Amino acid sequence: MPMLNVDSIDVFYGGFKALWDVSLSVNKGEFVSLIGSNGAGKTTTLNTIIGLLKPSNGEIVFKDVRISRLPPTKIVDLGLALVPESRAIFPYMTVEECLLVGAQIRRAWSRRMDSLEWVYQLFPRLRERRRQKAGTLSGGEQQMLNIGRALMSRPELLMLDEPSIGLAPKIVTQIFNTLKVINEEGVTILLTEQHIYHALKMSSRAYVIETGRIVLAGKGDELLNDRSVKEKYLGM
Amino acid sequence: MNYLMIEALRRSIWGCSMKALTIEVLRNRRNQSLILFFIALALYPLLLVDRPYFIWVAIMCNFFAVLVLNWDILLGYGNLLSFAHTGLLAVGAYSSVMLVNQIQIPPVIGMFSGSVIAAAMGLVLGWICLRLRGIYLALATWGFSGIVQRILIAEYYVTGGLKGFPTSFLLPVSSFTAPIYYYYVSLLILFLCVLVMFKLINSRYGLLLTAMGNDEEALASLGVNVTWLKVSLFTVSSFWIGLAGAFYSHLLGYTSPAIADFSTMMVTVMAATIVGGLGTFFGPLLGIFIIYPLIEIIRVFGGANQQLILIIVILVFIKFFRNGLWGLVKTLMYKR
Repeated sequence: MPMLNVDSIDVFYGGFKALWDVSLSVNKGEFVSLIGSNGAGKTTTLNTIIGLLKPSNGEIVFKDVRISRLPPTKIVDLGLALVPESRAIFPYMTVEECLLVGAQIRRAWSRRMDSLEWVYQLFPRLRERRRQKAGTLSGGEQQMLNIGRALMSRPELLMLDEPSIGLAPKIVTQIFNTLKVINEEGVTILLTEQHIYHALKMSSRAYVIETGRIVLAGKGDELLNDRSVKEKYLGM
Repeated sequence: MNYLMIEALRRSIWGCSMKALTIEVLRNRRNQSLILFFIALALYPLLLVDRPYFIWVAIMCNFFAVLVLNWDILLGYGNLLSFAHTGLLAVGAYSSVMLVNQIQIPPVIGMFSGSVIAAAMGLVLGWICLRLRGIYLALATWGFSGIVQRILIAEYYVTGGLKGFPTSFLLPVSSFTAPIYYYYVSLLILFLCVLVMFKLINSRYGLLLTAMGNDEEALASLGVNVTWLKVSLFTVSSFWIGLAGAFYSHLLGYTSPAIADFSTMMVTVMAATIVGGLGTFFGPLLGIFIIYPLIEIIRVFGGANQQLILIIVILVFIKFFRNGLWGLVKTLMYKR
């Protein structure tokens, strides 16, 4: 039984159908990526899983609980966390306060000091800047803060919406390496990405989404050698 | 058994035992200054026992400090611009006065029931209005206060109209013969309010509140129920405002729609918060102990220019001292 199972969901924005019969599954401990170009429906998929959007058809099951009708609060309580695409940080709070906000659910609050230490180990940069206002951080540091804040809720499945967007290539490599470490420490990861190469090299499995439909699925390195993926996304 | 239950209750409220709490509280620099502040407040009326006018000014400072503190927490921490203060004051005052006058309960109990009714009103109002944001929330709450005041004036056979009606004093002695007792009651209310709100702001709840003031949507995306956060905050602050309103009417021994007057009540609250420093907790407390005496001075020497002068003060501070006096003190301390 997969940890997260999305079973043929349809999602509408008003009258516009954004997702058509999307199915995907993530097993415990996996690193799965969902790749596709702009407007393909990557963000919509993640927002639907976390409960910000409701599917009109289909089911989402996480750890044997049907979450497709639950509010986001309950879903986060179950152990899912989303790192949103827009780096929605709290600009006038210090880095440490921002991280603590991430630990707000009851289950995580009692372990907040351990979690803080864990996040600082993963991102030593954040430890250096812990007393600094979050709004004064650089883009890469803000993204680290964003991921760290999601980790503070001690998720079993961490979803990241394009963590590499707008960042220097060096920082992107750094963040991806940290994600690998996080995954090895037992956190399952589901990631959407436009940086196809990076994402496919890291992931155990991947799905390709195009205009709201899953068109291809397979192992990361298989997809990397797939001709249609090469042509469409890598320009080869 | 009983002792254990009390201890468990204490732990659930304070998160530690009373002894550990006392030690922790006394070590903290901020708490030390807070305690000194309250000791000063408790002692200085003793110097003025034979000057009742000054004691009245001090009582009014304490009364306004409760309002200012709650406005500061709503706007400075939660970024909720609310003008419901005057309406809620009137709800607290009138419900307490009516209960005391009609079913002859003691004014102390009336005061607390008045504040509970104001809290309930705050809950309902919060539920209706808090889906609104920014200027829309301000308009809706302003509308609420306006409606309350119009009802108080128009429904004169129930509310006594513009004249209002008399009620009994809070204590067996009248506040006009012995204001000093009323001063200590007002200080007690202020102390409780500061204690509870300080504890609240420095808890997980306060952290979420600050985050909500920073970026509501970001907080919602972390799976926090922002509506609950807003409504609960609104209810708690309504409770204190209702308590202040009820105290005010039992202090004066009568109540009238003047309690819901925007230009005297709300402008004072706004001026004190902005002069003291928005979102700094202690700043606005400092602010009201400057602004209210200033108002009294204007009343004596400045004639009818009270609002004008206050508005100018507000504008000057918004333009030149964005962080208020508290911010100014902080910058000076950092520079040294």
